[in-house]
Amino acid sequence: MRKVIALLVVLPCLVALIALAAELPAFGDADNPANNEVVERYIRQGVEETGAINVVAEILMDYRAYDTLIETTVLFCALVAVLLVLKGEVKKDA
Amino acid sequence: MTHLPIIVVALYLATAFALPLLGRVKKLHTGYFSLCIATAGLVMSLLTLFYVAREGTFSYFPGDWPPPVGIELSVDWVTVLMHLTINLIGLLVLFYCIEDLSSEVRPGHETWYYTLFFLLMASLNALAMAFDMFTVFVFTEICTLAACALVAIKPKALCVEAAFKYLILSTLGSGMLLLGTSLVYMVTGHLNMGLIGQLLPQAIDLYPLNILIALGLFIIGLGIKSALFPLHTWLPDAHSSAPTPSSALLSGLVVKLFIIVVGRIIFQVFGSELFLMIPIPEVILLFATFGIFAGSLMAIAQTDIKRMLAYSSVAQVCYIYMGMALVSQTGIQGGLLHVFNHAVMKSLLFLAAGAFIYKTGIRKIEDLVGIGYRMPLTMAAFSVGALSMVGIPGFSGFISKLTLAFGALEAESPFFVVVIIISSLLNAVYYLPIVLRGFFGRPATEFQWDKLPLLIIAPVLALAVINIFFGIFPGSLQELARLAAETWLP
Amino acid sequence: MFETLINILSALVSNMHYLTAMLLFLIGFHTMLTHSNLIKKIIGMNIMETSVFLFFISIGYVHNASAPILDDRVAAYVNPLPSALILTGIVVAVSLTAFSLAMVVMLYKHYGTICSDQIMRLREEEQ
Repeated sequence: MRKVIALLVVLPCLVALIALAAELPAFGDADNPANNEVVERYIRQGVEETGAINVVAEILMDYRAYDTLIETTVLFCALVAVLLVLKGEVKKDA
Repeated sequence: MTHLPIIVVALYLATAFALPLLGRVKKLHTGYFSLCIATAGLVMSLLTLFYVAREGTFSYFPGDWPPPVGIELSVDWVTVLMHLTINLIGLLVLFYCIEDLSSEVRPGHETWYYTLFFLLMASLNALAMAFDMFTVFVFTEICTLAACALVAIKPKALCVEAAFKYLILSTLGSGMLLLGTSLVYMVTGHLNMGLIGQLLPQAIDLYPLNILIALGLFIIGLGIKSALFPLHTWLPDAHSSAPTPSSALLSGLVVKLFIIVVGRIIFQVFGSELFLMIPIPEVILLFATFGIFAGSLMAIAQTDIKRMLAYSSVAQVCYIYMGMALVSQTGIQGGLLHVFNHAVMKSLLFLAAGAFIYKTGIRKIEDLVGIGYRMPLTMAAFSVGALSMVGIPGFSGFISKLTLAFGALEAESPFFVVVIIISSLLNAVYYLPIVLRGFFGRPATEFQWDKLPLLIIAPVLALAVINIFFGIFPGSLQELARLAAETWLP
Repeated sequence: MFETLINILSALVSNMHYLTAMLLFLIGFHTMLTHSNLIKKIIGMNIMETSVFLFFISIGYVHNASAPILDDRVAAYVNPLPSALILTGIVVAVSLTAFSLAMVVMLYKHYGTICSDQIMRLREEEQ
């Protein structure tokens, strides 16, 4: 029963996503909309503005540092959660 | 002054990091320290309200990198309204935590509870002003993690199981959110909501399927997290088994913030014209209508009071979705009003139900007969929440339902006025018997006044007073909601 | 008719990375929905998240371009933004996996099984 429902959900998704994959901008094309002036700026002005040669690091540590702060907070949150769940011995009553 | 909203987030994060250390120092009361911080947060969000009222809305750029390269936080009227809701409810729930936690979590885990509480509050505050798709994703994740941990913190296998279910389904939702974000980034090259919104009308000619699937992924993904009707299956387990303060936070705030994010994506990224071009509003309205009835009917069938309140949340969330999907300004105003009013009502009801459980250990609705003789104040507060849920004039629930009904008329679909009226009757079917039996049922024992600790009764009464106040003087709140609705649908 | 089919197929072949990511997404999705084993649910969750990461990373790829570490001898770089975002995404996914595994440990200690159907039965017996 559950498998039938799952197939009914997944099959339309499969058709839609394959159609989507055919419609998307060509893979690896330098003229894709994602390769726009923002990327250009990260590469051209990144060294002056942040001093990092690695562009990924300069985005991570400077332009989008707010996200990175939260990324570390997620790690902290997971740490607290894991410790709590593993420490909290559940009473075995069965 | 423009730094205030981000200072709230930073303060909460710093408190979350510092609390485990403070917990090590013995004589420091982490609970009272947390209260001070939460009060400061509420004061700061009030100051933000006054600042925005005087100087107008503004954007904030962390690290001073303006949008195309950096991140934008938008402090508009929606943000102001949500910040007030979050910090007000959070503070009152925190009051309740101090006495109640010792009976809900293992001894010594209270400090960790406050840590998770502040992580949750920081993420909620940040989600309310996030204006960048990827920031939304990251804060969604931390919000989910903290919310699941707040359910799983109770040392019961039942809670861990509910939290697991919640986490798995939420992860599915966030996977969809990230996939949608990547699809939108792919065709526009931006992550900032405003810039995406400007470029989408051009992109839709080239990649129509892409945009459509992205919108679908956003709505389904965030619909799972905000328990839109057919995707609500995790909510009753998680909200009913969690510790009482967590239930109040999850039902009152967490679910709402995801609705706000959906609203931002629909109205500020895709825009109402695009949204109306495809029949998605109709689909949401259909599900919301089903959800209002299904949630109420399932709530009637419940015997556990917290489970009943959780199912009632399923129905109430659908009201807010209905308000947004009507795509009329009054409808959105009603939806946003209901975000505030439902947050107050539902946390009031959960905290009052928690107070019954704290004092008497009764969870079954039929055993609550005559509880009004034992705990008159708590039961009176519960009655205020219940009457407000039903939509009796004079309570705040009436105001938001009325505004939603006007919104339905403005959108020229009077059918939804009928839906609201019938569902109010259904609400009365399950809320009023509790009130009637609580006050007029024959008490099982002779009259005795069970005294509750001040810190438990005070937030419950405060929420009841807030509810009645905004039921009788709704003007300022309605104005705030109207301004917020104007940001989304000018 | 035949020509449009050829066009779609050639688009699919050139967008093979996107197609793979989509298929992996559905495989993960299906695993999460159908399996009652909690560990397999977590595996499905990871497959799904990784597929999204693969998809996001392939958006940034540019033919004949090198890694975005600045060098005078290089003419073109790939798009650095997806890589930066996915670094954050991976950390988030790891945190979620850790937490869910911890919860499975807890459930196994209590119920002695990691099958969600059996857990549901045992829970009803307890109540």
